[in-house]
Amino acid sequence: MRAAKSTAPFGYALLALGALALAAIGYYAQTERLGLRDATFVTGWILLGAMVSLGLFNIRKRLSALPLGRAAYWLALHVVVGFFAVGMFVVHTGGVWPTGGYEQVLAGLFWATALSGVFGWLYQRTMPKRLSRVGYEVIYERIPAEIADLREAAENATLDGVSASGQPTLGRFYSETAEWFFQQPRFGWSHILGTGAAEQWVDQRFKTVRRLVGSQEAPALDAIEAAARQKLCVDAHYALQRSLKLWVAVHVVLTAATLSLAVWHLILVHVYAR
Amino acid sequence: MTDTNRFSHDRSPYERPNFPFRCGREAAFGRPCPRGPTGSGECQGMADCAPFRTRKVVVDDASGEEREILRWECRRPAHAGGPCAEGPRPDGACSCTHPPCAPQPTIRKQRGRWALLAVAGVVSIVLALVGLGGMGGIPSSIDPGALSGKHAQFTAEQGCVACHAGHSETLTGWAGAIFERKAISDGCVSCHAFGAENVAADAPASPLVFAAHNSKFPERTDAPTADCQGCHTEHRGEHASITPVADGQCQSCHVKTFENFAGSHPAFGANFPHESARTIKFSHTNHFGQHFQDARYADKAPEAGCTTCHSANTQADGRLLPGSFETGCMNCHNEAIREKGITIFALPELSDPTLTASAAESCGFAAAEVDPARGLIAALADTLPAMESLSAAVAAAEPDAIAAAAEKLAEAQSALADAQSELADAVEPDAISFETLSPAFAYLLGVDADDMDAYSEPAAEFLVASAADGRTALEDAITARGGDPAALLAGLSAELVTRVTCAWTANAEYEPLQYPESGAGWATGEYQVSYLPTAHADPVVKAWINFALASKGSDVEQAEDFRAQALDPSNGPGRCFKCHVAPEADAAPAIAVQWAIPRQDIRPFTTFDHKPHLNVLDQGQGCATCHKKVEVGMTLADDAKRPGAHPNEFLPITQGVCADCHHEGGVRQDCSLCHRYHADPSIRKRKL
Repeated sequence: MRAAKSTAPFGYALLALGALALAAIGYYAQTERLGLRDATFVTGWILLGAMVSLGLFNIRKRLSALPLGRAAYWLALHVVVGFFAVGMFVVHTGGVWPTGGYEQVLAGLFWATALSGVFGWLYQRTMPKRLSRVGYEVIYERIPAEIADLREAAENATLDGVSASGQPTLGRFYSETAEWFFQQPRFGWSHILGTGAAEQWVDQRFKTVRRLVGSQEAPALDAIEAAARQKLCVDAHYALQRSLKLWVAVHVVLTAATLSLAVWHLILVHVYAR
Repeated sequence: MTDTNRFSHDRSPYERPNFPFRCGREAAFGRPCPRGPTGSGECQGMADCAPFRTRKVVVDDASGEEREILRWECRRPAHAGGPCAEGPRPDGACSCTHPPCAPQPTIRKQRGRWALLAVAGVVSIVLALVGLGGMGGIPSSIDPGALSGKHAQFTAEQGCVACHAGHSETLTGWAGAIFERKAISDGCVSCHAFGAENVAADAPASPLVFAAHNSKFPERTDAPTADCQGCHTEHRGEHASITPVADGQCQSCHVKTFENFAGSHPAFGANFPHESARTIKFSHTNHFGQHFQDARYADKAPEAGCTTCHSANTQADGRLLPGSFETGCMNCHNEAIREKGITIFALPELSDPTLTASAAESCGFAAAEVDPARGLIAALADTLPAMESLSAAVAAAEPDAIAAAAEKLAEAQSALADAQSELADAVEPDAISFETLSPAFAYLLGVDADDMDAYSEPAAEFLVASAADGRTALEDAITARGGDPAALLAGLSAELVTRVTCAWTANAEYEPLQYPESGAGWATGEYQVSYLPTAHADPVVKAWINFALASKGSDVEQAEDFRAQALDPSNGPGRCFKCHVAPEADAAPAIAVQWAIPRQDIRPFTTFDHKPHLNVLDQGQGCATCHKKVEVGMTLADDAKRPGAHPNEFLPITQGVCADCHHEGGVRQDCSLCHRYHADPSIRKRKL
């Protein structure tokens, strides 16, 4: 399998182009301002164009069947245009915060969208490394099935252990402690923040129960622990991938609200400019 | 270790992030059904598969006939265990059934719903606040921020439509607005005016209203125009300044760019700030060095020094204009005002005093007193009886009768002799006036004041006409010379003109009703009608001075003499020019006297506020800290060639004086501190 070509040169080229365009527009706006002319209509339309073009990234994902270029290029374009839009906002408003009521809401939505975008950009850049460190790969949509498999394996191992030893130790351990863990993903914040609480929980529980089981139950306990450690990996994937998806949802919702209010702003400035 | 094959098609269901729904069992972290929900969110997991009906044609070995075999086949996918052992039921239904689940939307689906909800929420809130905004403190969705204090006041009644015509338009108008851009500045100039000629409520906006500095610069035909919004951004709060101008905005046009004031601002003028053409010739040197040192006038010296006349507390435009004549000069100079009268017209010596006899009918003077012919007739009437008596006496030859008749005859002869003498006097009367025409009268008549033969007839006609119609002849004469009778003859009674001219046409002196007069206003003597100013800035005297000035260049006879009389600085109205600057002798004919100190500064784009500087004056120096008087022997730039100028009494103020404080790290030194953009800004009168 051939390694994907790096998008860094493309990204840097885009970044340079965006910076150049922003500088040119900023120079134009400043020249107009110094010449006692109003450039806000021009800069406003450019800003709106940039914001709409940012939305194209979402459309690109919906049209995955079309040969529209690699998603990585589109992401680079999205990030650069996003930073360009932030710069254009400052050029357009002459500051970061307006005075009017609805304009403050619009600015608030814009900054929330921009900050969520920057956060998500940085977050998704750390994601591959963190998922690699998990040492296990799983598709997000398959995680429930994976958990069901691990739960089933743990339950079978418990039954085998109880059958082999005739002691209820493993049964009680599973029903009172491990079942909660295998029901669904656990320790989400711990996995996101990387605190290690989940691993500590598993270590403590199995260390405790291992002192209470005999040699006949030990293989079953080993199997249950293996399933638990596998689930730790699945849980980490679930937490990290879900946080990324939720972040996208927040970003998209904020974008929709910002664009809606921007259209209202567009109408008002044209109607009230006369 | 990751098993990379566990997601192969035969071991894993086909799941993608863009599926809108997921299995309800999966949502609860159970094992999902192999088929998953439909795209619309309906459960398909009640059966493991949807059996497929196959059609197979077989040939009967025995009969050789073809037979069609229809069979239901299990389609359970490999990752779910492959075809089941039971197989489909005869009716085609799957035999592996389960209870249904409640499919749940995926995050992607939820994301779309939330986005739509956000859009709907924004639109709903915007529309709701359009209607409810402003009621009970509810913010409006069209509120771009509070207006600055002054604009908030005058827009309070009309609201947004005071500036934004689009506010009252229909939705169609709103839709069209996006294609029709119209500057809002047109609304601004309905209240704001630049230049005194545009201040009237109905005056059209100046064509230069959007020009750079509201002015025309012949040397800069490329000077850009600017909308108001280029500098003034509203809706930034009640206390926000909407008039900030950055130095860069000034220097985007100005050719001479410089870093800052202290470092490289162009040098001030050679006589700054005293180079303006003066309209009042006030000598600080004479007053403070001579008059106020005199014990007789020492008590009239200004108590507070410079600020007695130049108040820095009441004037903010930088030019501390002196107080009025009444507050500053009248104490000493009021009496001299009375000496500035002018004789408008006088009875001249006529070549023939009888030229005005035709006024007798309109004036009604007594014919018996002036008609010698009637006296002669009366004398003859008295003589006839004496003649008859003498004839009768001779016929009777009575000595006593003859003596009596002779006596009567002698009386008749005497009366006849008197009548003959009066008749002779009436035919050639003596003139009562030996005056010449006054310069003003000669100019109005357009005749040579020294040529009696030339002026007698028109002067007599004028007097006769005045005797008949009062001021009419005078008004007509003034009008014919381009003057304004209403201003020049203000207060002159038509009856007074009639009385005076009737006396003169009767070849008699006019006896004023009250003589000597009070000394102000229209005054009459035996032979003249004059005007004496009532107070400083008397409008009639000013009108006659301007009338005389307007005669410059006229080819009318005596125009020059009239002008010389009116403007003579030693006597009459010309004495006004002892203090007021007279127009140059070679000035254009139409130039008028600049009586008042002009409101318009010669540096309309420069301003200076004295008040903040009062605290930094040197002790004991006061105003002289900056305004240093010229000492004897100093040489200044000669500005005496300019109209109305007289030598400066103060040294120029240099840029360095200002830069002592206004420099980098010191007091601010930006352009707008001393310069303003607009030329003569004001508010139209209907707004005041």
